[in-house]
Parts: sequence; structure tokens; C-alpha cells
Amino acid sequence: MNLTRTIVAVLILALLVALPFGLGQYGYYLMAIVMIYAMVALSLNVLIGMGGQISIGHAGFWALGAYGSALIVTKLGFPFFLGVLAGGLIAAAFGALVALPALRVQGHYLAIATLGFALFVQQVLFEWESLTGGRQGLFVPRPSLFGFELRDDFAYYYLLLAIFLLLAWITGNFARSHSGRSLMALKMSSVAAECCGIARPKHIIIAFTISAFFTGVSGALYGHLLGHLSTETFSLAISLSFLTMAVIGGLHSRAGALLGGAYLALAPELMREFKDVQMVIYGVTLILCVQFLPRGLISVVERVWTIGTTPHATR
Amino acid sequence: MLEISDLSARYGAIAALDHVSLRVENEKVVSLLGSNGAGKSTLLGCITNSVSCRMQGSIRLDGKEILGLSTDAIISRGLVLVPEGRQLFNDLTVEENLRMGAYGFEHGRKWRTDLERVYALFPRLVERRRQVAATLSGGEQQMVAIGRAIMARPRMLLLDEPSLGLAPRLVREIFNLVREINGQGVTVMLVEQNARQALRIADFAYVLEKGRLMGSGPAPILAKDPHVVSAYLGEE
Repeated sequence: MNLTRTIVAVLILALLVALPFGLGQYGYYLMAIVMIYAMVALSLNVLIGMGGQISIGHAGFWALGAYGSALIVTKLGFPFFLGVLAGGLIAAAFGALVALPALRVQGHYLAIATLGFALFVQQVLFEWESLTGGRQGLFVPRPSLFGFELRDDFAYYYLLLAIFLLLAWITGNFARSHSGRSLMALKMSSVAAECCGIARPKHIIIAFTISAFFTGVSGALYGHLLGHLSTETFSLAISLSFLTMAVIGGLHSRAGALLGGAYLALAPELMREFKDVQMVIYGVTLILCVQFLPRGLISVVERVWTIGTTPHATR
Repeated sequence: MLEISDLSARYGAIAALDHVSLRVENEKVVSLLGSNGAGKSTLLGCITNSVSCRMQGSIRLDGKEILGLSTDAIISRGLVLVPEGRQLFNDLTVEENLRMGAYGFEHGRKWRTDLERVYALFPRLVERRRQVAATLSGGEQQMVAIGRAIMARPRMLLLDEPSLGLAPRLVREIFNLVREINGQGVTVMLVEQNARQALRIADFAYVLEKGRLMGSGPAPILAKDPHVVSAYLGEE
């Protein structure tokens, strides 16, 4: 089993490395977007999949990462890499703060609290013109590594892929850590878990912090890809899209996060001809997915794989 | 010793507990009797800080104030709650549920000896160890809930309505086991509607009505109290 897992992982990796070849500039850009979205999907894997918490405010963390990194690189002259790290850390600090209401409220109320947070971030960034450029927006330098500017999205894609893999590795380790397991226990039954001596506040704060960090890093990388930031990007609509992609891809799988990212990045391209009907299609897809594929698109892949490899499957 | 003095608790404008004072001596079984809505579960929730009500007063464990500490901090001081309605991890097996009982603690690594202790107390769980908790009978689920609490190496067990939904024969069995656990040196605070069984195994009991303490005394004496007889025991 371990061997097949390794083989599958190598195949996926080979595919991800080979995929962009011959796609052209726009194709490279789209592939980069897939990676950036997939990082957000990973962050929701941690928060929702493991922690059982909801957020429709991830656009807020995304914005904090994007503006944080952009400002630190342009105003303080930090290198790109430190900017991205700082963007993640700024988002993480706010993640810990947003966890505080989650200690008191759950479900719809938490959704509203996180939504409020995202709207607040967007509004502050818009109004704080001297820092963020407000309506004008903010120019962000291209990514660079060891003094070499990555002019091309082709090269940037590989950097993004490496960062995604790093975050996916962290996610996997976190799931097996004491904190990850405590979160899963809390999700099954918070009363039961607390009776077992599990410190609910601590682990919920950790989940929000890690999730916000991932999303902040993604936002930072996104800013450097676009080259220009405006607050309109970080709307309620993108928060909802994040949630949708994470659910559709699969909340309990790192490969599912990748599928979710691909869905959110590529579906608009495939459905361009449908114009106004697009939102209807998104909505219907989400409903169908929740109804028939509660574990996301990745569960289809896993099922096909199981049938293919174990003809006399017992489970 | 657990000492509660002048404890009041309110949910918004509604008072759930009104200046309650009581004490639980070490290695005793103390029952808290009362009908539905008397505030019994709220009292246990206050002790473990697992309810969302505003509390005033003091709860001291061996002279140290524990009111205001977090749930896990209180539980790791040895006050372990067996919540109302069992609250098991339904998708996990019996053994996984029991192992979870030790998960949050430093002694969690040495769960094997604790598991043997639980199986010695509840031999029936040995045959069920690989069975998913949701498929157990009510009595067995209650055994797992108590067993899970034992895994936490409690100094004091807080049992919330362990008889809930169980047949009389099983209630007797569970209560006998509680007495046996107590015999191993674990203090027990037992919250019950089933006053007859609770008084049978308790050393001392308190009566709670509408958030107020209405009576207390050694269990055998309280069992003969006319008010307790008419309100909780009925004629027999």
C-alpha cells in the first residue's frame, strides 16, 4: 500500500511538472493561479476538514497577505521571499484573533463573524489610501529569487508548485500531530474531546492561525503574480468561491485541494461562453457535490483507483 | 476535598443556581438529587467550566480556587466529568474511545495499564473492544463513558445522570460499579434523578430544587426524610 501511494505521488508530481509545457503565456498564468488557489484550499482543509470550523472570511487573510507582502517589499525594500513570509505571518496573527469569536460561537454565527472580518479588512484597505493606494491600487514588483527576477509565469509556476508541496507536507504532518488529532476529536464531539482533557481553545486558535498563514502566503504570492492590487479583488464573492472550491475538491485530501484549485481557476475559462449563466452553474455544481459527493471530486478519483487496483475489494 | 461556597450561576436573566454551598469529602460518594431543571447539570458544568453561564462564588479543590480555570486545566487536576447522555465518539471503537480518555494527559503514553484496569472493571467491554461505540447498548455505552473517564486517572468522578435511559437492572449494575470504583479510592459526585439508587450507594446527599439547596444529610437519614420520600422516592 505504501509503495502504491509513493508511485501515485510520483506520478502526480511528474504530471504537475510536465503540465505547463507548451501552454503559452496565458496557460502559464492559469497554472500559477491553480497553485495559488490550491494553497487556499489546503488552508480550508486544515480549518474545516480537520477543525470543523467555518470561515467565509478567507478573502480577508488573502488580502492581508497580499498587501502585507507588497508593502513590505516596496516600502521597506525587503526581498520577495521575506515579503511572502511576512504576508503569511501578518495573516496568521489576525487568524489567531479571528479564532477568539470561534471559541464562543459556532456554525452560522461564526460564518457571520468571519464574514464581518473580511468586510472590515477590505474596507480598511480601501480607506487607508496613504498606505494602500485606496482606489488607485498598489503596484507590486515581480517575484525574484536570489536576485533574479522571475519575469516569466512559467518559472514562477515551479516556485509556486514547490511552495504548495511544502504547505501540503506541513498539512500532512499537522494532521498526524497532537494538535491535528485533537482537532479531529473535537470535530467528532467537542464535549467528548474536552472530557478527555483536550484544550479546545488552544487547538482552535492553532487551526485558525495555520489556516490564515497558508492563505496569507497564497495572497502574497498572488499579488506578486498580478503585479497590481486593488481591494475589489478581495470581496465576499472570492471568500465564497474559496469555500466552494474547497468543498468541491474535497476537504479531507491534499490532492483534493489541488483539484479544488484547478476547478476555481479553470472553470471560468471553460464556461466563458455561458456568460451570465456561470453563477447558476457554480451553484448547481456545489449543490450536486454536497448532495452526491460530500467528500468532493477527489472521492471519485479515489473510488476509481480502488476499483482499479483491488478487484476483490473488501472495503 | 471539593468545596463549593455561595455559587450562583445565571444564563442571561435566568438564575440557574442561587447561592449554593456544598462539599464533597475525599473518597466519599456524594449524591446531588433533584428533578429536571433543578440546576444539577449546571452545577457540574460550573465545576468543570463547560457551560456558558455567568458564575459567582467560589469552587475550591483542596483549598485552591478552580473557578475560572479552563476545562482542560480543571480536568487535568483530576476532576473528570462523565457527561449526561454518554457523549462517546460514536464512529470510534470501544477501545479507541477508551484510549481517547487518556489522550489529553501526560500519562497518556502509558495507557496500557489504565486500559487493563478498565477492562478488569468492565469485563463485558473486552468482548466489545473492536465494536463501534454507536452500536453498543445503552448500558455498555455508559460503561465506556465511565471507562473513558477512568483512563484520565481521576481523583474525583463527576457523573451526570448515569442511569438515563437504562433498564432498572442495568442501573443497579452501573451503580454497583460506581461503588466499586469508589472503593479504589476515587471520590464520586453523582448527579441523579433516580433518587432511590443514588441514595443506596451514596454516603451523603444534597437536594437541589429550582437552583437552591433544599436539604442535605447522610444518605440513610435523607432516605427517611418525609419531604424527600414524598417528592423523590414515592410510596413503596
